[in-house]
Amino acid sequence: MSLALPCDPAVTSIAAAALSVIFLLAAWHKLRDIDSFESAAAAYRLLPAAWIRPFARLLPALEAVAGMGLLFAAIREHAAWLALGLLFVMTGAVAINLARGIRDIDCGCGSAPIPLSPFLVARNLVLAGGLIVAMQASAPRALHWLDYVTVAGGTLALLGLYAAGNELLATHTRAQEARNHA
Amino acid sequence: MNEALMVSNIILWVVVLALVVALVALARQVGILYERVAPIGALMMDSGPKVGDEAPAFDLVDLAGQAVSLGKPADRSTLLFFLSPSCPVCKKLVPILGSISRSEAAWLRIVFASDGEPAQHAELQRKAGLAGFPYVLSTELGMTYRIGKLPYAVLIDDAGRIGAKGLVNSREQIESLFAAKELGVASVQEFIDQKARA
Repeated sequence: MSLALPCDPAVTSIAAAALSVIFLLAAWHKLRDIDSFESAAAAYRLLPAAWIRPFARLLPALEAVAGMGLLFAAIREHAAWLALGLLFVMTGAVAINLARGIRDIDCGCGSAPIPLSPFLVARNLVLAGGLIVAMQASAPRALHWLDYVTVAGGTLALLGLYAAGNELLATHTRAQEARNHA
Repeated sequence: MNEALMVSNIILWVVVLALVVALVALARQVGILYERVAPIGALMMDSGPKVGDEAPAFDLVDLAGQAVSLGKPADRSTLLFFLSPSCPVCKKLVPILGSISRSEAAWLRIVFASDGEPAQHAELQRKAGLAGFPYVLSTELGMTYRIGKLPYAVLIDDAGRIGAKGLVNSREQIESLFAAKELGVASVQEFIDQKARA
């Protein structure tokens, strides 16, 4: 399904490429340290203990599939829907625990430990917005070489902003603690 | 005109990317700074009964059917260790706790605590070689101490007061609880704060 408004191919390509890297990196981080991810998944207290192990393997595998799929225009839309589904599950788990008042667990997003916060939900909503852009049909347009510069630059800039945002999310709680402490 | 726009576009991309790299580096440096000033030793959460308070009294029955009482004056201190079968770090700490229980046997007993299916825990107890240790299952116990993260340890002194508590991930952090109790501070964090103020 696509919205009626076709997007510029440079824009959809930037969204797809950046989200592909984000999903592949997230999958790689989780699979590389699967024990930590299992603990993080268990800490959400949503799944029976017996399901944690298979879940901790299935989720990063699906993330990797979605990340790979976003790279290929032919299956991009399906991959984007899969990624949206995964984001929905993960963000739902975060929101449920926030509603329960549980914040001091690792989100298990991969990379550095990030405690749960409403900002995490907001971040995932931004990612979901990116996925919706990525799944739009591109308007046919002859690509100029400058478009490739735009796509490369835009993708790198988005990835950098995402990394910086995660870094700030990870330190946000610590900064608050330090403020309360002083 | 067109050429001028292209040149300006490329220059702008270079500048944008340089700024993003600088932003990532700055955010990372802030993160490193917080890591450096972060407390060493077992991290203490500010919830549940406070250090120095009397430990809530519990009369429980362990997996082997033996009575275990917690939070009452006793001849030895108690290290209450909260774990779960789904926590790999907990499993890593079990042999370390075994060795601590041998070396500190004169003044310390170790009680393992968790909640959930007894069958699963009996399996964990057997596999991890914890047969000789009291192992209690009580949701109420975990709720009372507000255990949110595992592995979590609470040191109850022989007078039945909470001597120290915190999230523990290594032998050093378990020992930091002993040190905190000996020094009469709630946690190593507080000790550092006291030193800083002095």
